[in-house]
Order: sequence, then structure tokens, then C-alpha cells
Amino acid sequence: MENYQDQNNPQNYQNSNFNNGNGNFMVSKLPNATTVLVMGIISILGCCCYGIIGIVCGIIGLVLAKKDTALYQQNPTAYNNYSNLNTGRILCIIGLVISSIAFISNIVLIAMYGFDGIQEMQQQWIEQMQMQQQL
Amino acid sequence: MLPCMHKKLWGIDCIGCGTQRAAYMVTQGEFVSAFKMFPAIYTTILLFGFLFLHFIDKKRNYHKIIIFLAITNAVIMVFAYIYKNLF
Repeated sequence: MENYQDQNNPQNYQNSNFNNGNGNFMVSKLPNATTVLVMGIISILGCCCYGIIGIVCGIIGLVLAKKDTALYQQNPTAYNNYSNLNTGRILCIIGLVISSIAFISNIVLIAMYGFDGIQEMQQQWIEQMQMQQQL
Repeated sequence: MLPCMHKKLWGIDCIGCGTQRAAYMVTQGEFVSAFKMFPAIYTTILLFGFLFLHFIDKKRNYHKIIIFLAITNAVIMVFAYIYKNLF
């Protein structure tokens, strides 16, 4: 029994082709890793549209990342792009934080000035811009 | 240039405001004024440069550099935003 190798243990594969649990004898990629990365990038960039785009993309990315992490935990040796997923997950978290700050600053401003205050502030800003252009 | 919705509504800079102007200034060679416009511009450029490399170059691992740059970027953005609005 010393030479016996457990067929179900992925550590005991002889070459790079092994069972990943789905019946496919090859190293596979996590399905959503690239999507999570792209969502993270969009969520960092999307902080300017009131933060809504950033928050939505960040949350979608985190949900997909959680699914893929569960998949990876079932069989850690079967996937070779976990670092990609981890990078995307952290980008999602950072994008979510930045977008949340933008979104919260919006809410705070609305709470402070109300919707009537928006028009006044816009007029003030337009006047300021005109003053600067004249200078 | 793309307008900032937050700035259109409030007249106050949002947390990402100045990125495009700063990037334009970098292309014009005005590095100091680009930094004053948006202090996180250089880490942002590096971050997207390494992200581009990450998609192109599959042989090497860039994830540690990307995570470090992204966290640095976020910290600089938040502190610069607080500094710009309070002082």
C-alpha cells in the first residue's frame, strides 16, 4: 500500500493534466476572474457619476469574486489564475470605497443644502466660471 | 473631455476630479502643475500601465504591484480630496 496514490487527491498528479473535479483532465481557469478585474477597473473609474456606477460595478465584482473563491476553495490546485481573481477583488474593494465616498458626499450635500440649494449653488458656480473667464 | 456629473450638480470637485486635466498636463510636460491639480495622477498612470501589462504579458505576475499601487492610489486620492476641500 506504500505506493498507493489517492486518485482523488489533486496533489498526486503526475503531469499537468489532472482531474479538476468536473471530469475535465486539465488545468482550468476560474470563469469570472477577468470579469472581476474589469469590474474593479470600471468601479475605480466610475466614481465621477455620483458614485452609482462605481458602487454597482464594485458590488457585482465582489459577488462574482465570492462565487469564484468558493469554486477555488473546493479544489485549489485545479485553477491557475487565482492571483488574477485576487487582484480584481482588491480593485473592486478600492473602487467601492472611492465610489462610496463620492456617493456619501452627494448625500451629505443634499442633506445640508436640499434640492433648492442645488440651483443656487449652480448659479454661483456659473458666475464664478464667468468671472474667471473674464480674468 | 468628459464632464463630471458631481461638479455639474454641485460646483464642487468630486473625488476623481482633475484626473483628465492632470493627464492632459502631463502630456504637455507640466508635471508640477499636474501634481498640484491631482496628486494621485502619477500612481494612476503607473496603475493603468501595469494593468495594461497584466493583460498583455501573461508570463509574469504583476498582481502584487497592482494591489500596492491601487491601495496607494486610493489613499492619496482620499487625503488629497480632504485636503483640497478643507484647506
